[in-house]
Amino acid sequence: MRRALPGLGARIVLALLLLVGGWGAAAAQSPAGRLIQAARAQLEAPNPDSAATLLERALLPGTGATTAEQTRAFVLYGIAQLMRGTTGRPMFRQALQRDPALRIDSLYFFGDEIEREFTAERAALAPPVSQAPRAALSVTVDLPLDTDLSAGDGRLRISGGSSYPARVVAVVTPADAPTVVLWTDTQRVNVTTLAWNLRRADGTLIEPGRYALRLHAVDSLGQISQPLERVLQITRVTVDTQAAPAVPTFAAESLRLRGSPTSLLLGVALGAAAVGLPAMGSSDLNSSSGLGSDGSRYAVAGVVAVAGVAGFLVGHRVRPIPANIVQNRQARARYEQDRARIAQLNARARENAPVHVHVEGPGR
Amino acid sequence: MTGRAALLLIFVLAPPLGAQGLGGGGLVYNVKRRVLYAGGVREQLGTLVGAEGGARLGPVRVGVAGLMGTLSGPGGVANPDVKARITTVTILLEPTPIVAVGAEVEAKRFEADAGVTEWRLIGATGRVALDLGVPGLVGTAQVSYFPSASIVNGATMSLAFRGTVGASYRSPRGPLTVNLGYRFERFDFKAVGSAPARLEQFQGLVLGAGFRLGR
Repeated sequence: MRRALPGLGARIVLALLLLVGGWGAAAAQSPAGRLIQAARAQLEAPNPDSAATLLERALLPGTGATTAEQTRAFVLYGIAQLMRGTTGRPMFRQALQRDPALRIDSLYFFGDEIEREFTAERAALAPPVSQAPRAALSVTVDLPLDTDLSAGDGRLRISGGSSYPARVVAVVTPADAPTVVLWTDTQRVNVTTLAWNLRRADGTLIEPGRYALRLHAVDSLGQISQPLERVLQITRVTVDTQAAPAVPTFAAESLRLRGSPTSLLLGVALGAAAVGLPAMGSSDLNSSSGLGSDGSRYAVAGVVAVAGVAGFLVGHRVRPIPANIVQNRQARARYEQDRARIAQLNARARENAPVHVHVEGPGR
Repeated sequence: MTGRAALLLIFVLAPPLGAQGLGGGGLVYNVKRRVLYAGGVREQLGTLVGAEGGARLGPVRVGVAGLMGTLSGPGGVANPDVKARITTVTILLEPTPIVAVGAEVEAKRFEADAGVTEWRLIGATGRVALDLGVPGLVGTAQVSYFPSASIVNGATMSLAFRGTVGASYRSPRGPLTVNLGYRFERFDFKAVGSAPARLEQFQGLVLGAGFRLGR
């Protein structure tokens, strides 16, 4: 959380306090302090010999120099030595012995050798690094066992940790297809909790199912921990949807009537045509040869006539009812519209339904 | 092209051409042939057996039918047996399911010991199919008239036509079809030179059974 900036009045009071404090500090400066300040001015002149003389005086036992003043005096003395062409490391050692965390970055402008010698002396004085083997790198995870997330912008928070400082990498795959990476992320500076938006790399929301979350840690030397796996069971929370509209009752579009007399007439007419067909032949030929011997035409005529009779007796006709057809068409169109609208609303509701994530086994 | 080749061509080409209907089946024509020549009438009977097939592309239906068999009658040498082969190609325009009009080409081949005679008939045809009130059952009547009819390298016909009346049933629940009809054909040959006119008629029952897919 950010602190609120002080107001204008508070800033003025703070400035006055600093002024008074600074004047008081200058007035209360010890003789050693004044000598050190003068030596610093001589270094900038640059008069390293004069600076060295002043610093030798400041470091005399009788000046009452504090440890901080001694530290500063030795640093400046080392710089003066370097400017005089000799090594400053003994003086730097004195300073570092008084303050191991000492930094003199602001003094490097006096010369390039200062940083090199100061750093070398710090390295020489630094305690030996422990060569004891580290414990094996391991990774931990902290997941909520059950959580409901919004399908739109919900994010599953994955808090990864390691046995010692290392980067934690998280990978999500289908539970039965460990090589199909759906999402992956790596801890970054100041980011120890990863957040998966339940989407693939292409931005599409994953389908309900079982997914494997695998984590491993990698340290700065490239050592990789044993992977840690958690199975996530992802389901869609059931949402309330609208029922499909009831299918309207359609009026009959036609009347079913009994067989038409037309069938009877057609059957008889076609039968008669079959019988009379030879009349289209040559009269000479027909008269010279009896047609009565050709019984097949009567057989066909009989069949066709019987078919006509059957059509009349057992057949049926369909008479359309135009008004009902129009009414049904409109009702059908309204029904289809309603059905499509509700289907769309339901699809949207299902699409936006929260996603439930359940961690099988321990979440930690 | 023979009838068999044309039939095969229809079945092969119909699906790739996007035919909306395809049908075929067997045909039997129990025919009586009567010839009036020089005052005498000669009769022959026979059963011609064959096949038919057709395909529908939009409002156009193309059909091929072939029949063959032997016609024989009493009379010995004066009325010899004849091997008959008939091939018919029909192209019909069906603007409605009831009416169809189109063209028909037919070849008849009669082979006897004395020689071979081939007829060529080209003409128009019209057909009506009338609903008889029972689903799948229609009464049919078809008339074909052949303005161009002649014997190859022989006489020309002064009149050639055919009429067929019958009924057709197509199962509403399947592709099976059955056709029954009475066919009557008349062919008049003019007198040529000293040769008198000749009148021929073919008539008899036509029975067909097969399948029909689509319309």
